[in-house]
Amino acid sequence: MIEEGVYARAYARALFGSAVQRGELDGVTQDVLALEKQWQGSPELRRFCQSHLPGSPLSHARNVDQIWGVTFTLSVKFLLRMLAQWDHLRLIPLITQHFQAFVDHAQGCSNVHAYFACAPQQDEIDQVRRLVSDAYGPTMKLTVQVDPTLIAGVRIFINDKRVDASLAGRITRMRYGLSKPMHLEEAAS
Amino acid sequence: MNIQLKPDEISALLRRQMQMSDRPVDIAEFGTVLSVGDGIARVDGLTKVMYNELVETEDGVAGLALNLEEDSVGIAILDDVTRIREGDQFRRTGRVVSVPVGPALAGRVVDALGRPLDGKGPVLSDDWMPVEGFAPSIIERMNVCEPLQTGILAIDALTPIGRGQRELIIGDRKTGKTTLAIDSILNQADTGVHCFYVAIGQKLSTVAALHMLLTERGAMAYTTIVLANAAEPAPLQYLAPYTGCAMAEYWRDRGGHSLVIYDDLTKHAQAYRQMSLLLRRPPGREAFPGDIFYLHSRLLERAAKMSAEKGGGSLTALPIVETQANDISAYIPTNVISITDGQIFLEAGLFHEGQRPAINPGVSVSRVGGDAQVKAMKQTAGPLRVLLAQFRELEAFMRFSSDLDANTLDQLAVGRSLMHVLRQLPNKPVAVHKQVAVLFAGTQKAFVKVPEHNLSEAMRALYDAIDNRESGQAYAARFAAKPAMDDELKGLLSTLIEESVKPYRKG
Repeated sequence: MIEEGVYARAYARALFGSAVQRGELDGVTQDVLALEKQWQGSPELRRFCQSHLPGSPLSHARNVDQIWGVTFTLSVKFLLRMLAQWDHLRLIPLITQHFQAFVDHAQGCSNVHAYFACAPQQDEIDQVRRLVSDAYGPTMKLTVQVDPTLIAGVRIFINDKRVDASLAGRITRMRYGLSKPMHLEEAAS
Repeated sequence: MNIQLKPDEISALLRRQMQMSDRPVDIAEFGTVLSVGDGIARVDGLTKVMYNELVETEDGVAGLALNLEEDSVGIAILDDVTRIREGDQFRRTGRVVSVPVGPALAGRVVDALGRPLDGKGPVLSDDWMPVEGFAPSIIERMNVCEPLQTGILAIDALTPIGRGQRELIIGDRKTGKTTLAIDSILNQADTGVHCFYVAIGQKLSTVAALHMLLTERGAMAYTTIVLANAAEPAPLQYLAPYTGCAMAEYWRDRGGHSLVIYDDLTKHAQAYRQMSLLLRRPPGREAFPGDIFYLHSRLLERAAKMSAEKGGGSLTALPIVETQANDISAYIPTNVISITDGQIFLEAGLFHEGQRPAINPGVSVSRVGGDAQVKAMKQTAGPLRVLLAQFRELEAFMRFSSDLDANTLDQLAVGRSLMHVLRQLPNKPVAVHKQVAVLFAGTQKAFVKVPEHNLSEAMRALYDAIDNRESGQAYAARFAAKPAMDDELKGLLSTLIEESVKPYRKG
C-alpha cells in the first residue's frame, strides 16, 4: 500500500526546507502556485503524470526537463526530477497543498475551513473571522463551504483544531455518550 | 446480578448520561487518516499528541499514538480496523490508556482495555489505573521474604517462589507450562492472593476451558482473566500484559498480594514485532525491534515485594515463554531469563517419559525464592538437588555399564523414587505440610523398597494418613504451629510414614 499522503508531506517538507536553506522561498512558493495552476489547467499534464512512465528513471528525469525546462527554480526542478524518477509525479497536487500549509505555518497564517449548515450571512463569516483572529492572530486563509449534513450550526477547522458547534456533532456526541456503559447498580441504589 | 429499576429511574439515568455528553461546542485537536492497513493508521495532524496517548474517532474507535514522526503520527488501532477509512478523523483524548482496577474485577473476563467479555455486564469500578506504570524504586522495595506456595512439589521444593518474585516458566509447546500456572492459581484459594491470568495470542477454546476449570474449582472468585486472543489485533495483544499488571498493581500498592501470569511473552513479542514492522521501525535480530528487551523489562520490573512503609504488598509475576526444540538460547528466552529471578524449565523429553510436571531440575533455578521458603521445606529439600544430580549422573553412567555395585544400585533406587515423588497430577495442588511429609519420606529412603507401580499408591496413603489418622492430624497441627524440621516433627513424621508406607514395601 502506498501511503501517498505521507510521501507527499515528506516531499513538501523537503522542498520547503530546501527553499528556506537556499533563500528562495518566495520563488519556490510562486513556482508551486504555478505548478498547481498548470496541473488544474492541463488535462494532458495530469494524464502524463498519472500514467506509469516507460523507460529508465534517468529518462524520466530528462522528460521532466523537456516538459518544464528552465521555468522553475532549482529546488522545484530537482523535486520534479525526483518525482519522475520515483514515479511519484501524481503526488503533485498533494505536495503543493502540503507545501502551502508549511508556508502558511511559517508565516503564522492559520488555515481555516468553516462549514455552515446553510449559506451563511456575511456577518456570520465576519464573526468566524473575528473569533479565529482573537485566538490565532489576524493572518488566516478562510474558506467557507456549506455542508447540509451538519443540520444546523457551524463546524470550523483551524489548522489541526476542530471547533464543532453543529447540531450533527452534538447528536453524535450524545449518541456516543449514551452508548457508554451505565452504572445500573448505582442507579438502582 | 438482579437489579430492579423503575421507569423514572431509567429516564433520570438517561437524562444524566445525555447531560454529561451534551456540550453545545466541542473543541478538539484532530488528525486526518492518510492511510490505514494491518491495524495501523497514519494520521496527518495531531501535532501535540503525546506518546501512548489514546485517540478516538467520532464512532468511538480507539487508537494508540505510538509513532510521533515529523510528517505523520502512527496509530495502532485497538478496535475493528475495518471501521476506519481514509479521511476519517482521530481526536485527542488527552489521556493515556487506563483500565478499571479493584475488587470489581474478581471473577471477570476482560479484554486488554478492561472491557467485559463474559456477558456479566459492565465492570463497576470507580478506580482506574494507566496500563503503563512505573516500577517501584529501590527504596520502596524489600527482599522477597514470603513464600508463594504453588502446590506443586517440584517447584516448592526445588525452585521456590516468593511473593514479589518473577519466575519464568519456559519450555516447548505442550510440556505443561500453562498447567503449572493454573495449578499455582488453584493453590491460592484462601491465601488472599489475587490472581490475574493474561492470555496473549491464545486460542479462545483453550481460554474457555481454563475459565471453566477455574470456575468449577471456585478459583474465579479471586481470579481475573485478561484475554487478547489470537484473533485480536496485535495492539491489543501488545497491551494485554500491561493491563494485567496494572490490575495486579492495584493490590500491590494497597498492601495486598497479587499473582499475575503472562501466557505467553513469546506471542507478546511477536505481536510487538508485527506492530513495529508495520510502524516501519527498524528491525533487528529475528526482525524484532531494538526495544524488545525494554518491552519485557519494563513489564517485569513492576513485580515487587513492597517495603513495610509502603504497605508490604507484593506482585508476583510468572511469565511464560515458549521455546523451539528446547532451545533456551534463542532471542526472547535469553532476554526474559536475564530479566527474571529464575526459571522453571520444562523439558519435552521428561514429559514424554511420564515425568510430569516435566521440570528439569538441572536447568531450573530460583535466585531469590530460597529466602522465602518455609523452613521445614528448606531443611527437607536441601539434599534433594544433590541427590537428583547424582542420580542423573549415575543414570547416564549406567547406560555404559551392566555391573554395578550395591551402593550405586542403592543410589539409583533412591533417585528413581525421588523422581517419582516429584510427579504430580495436573490441577491437584498439594498443601505444604503434605509436600514436606512426602519429601521427607523420599529423602529418608522410605519409598526405596516400594515397587514402582505401588509408589503412587504409597504416596496417596501417606496423604490420606495426614488427613485422617490421629498421628497425621497431630503432625499437621504441629507443622502449622512451628513449620521447622526439629526432632519432634521428625519423630511425628517417621511414625506416620512407617504406619502408612510399610504395607506397600516388598519383602
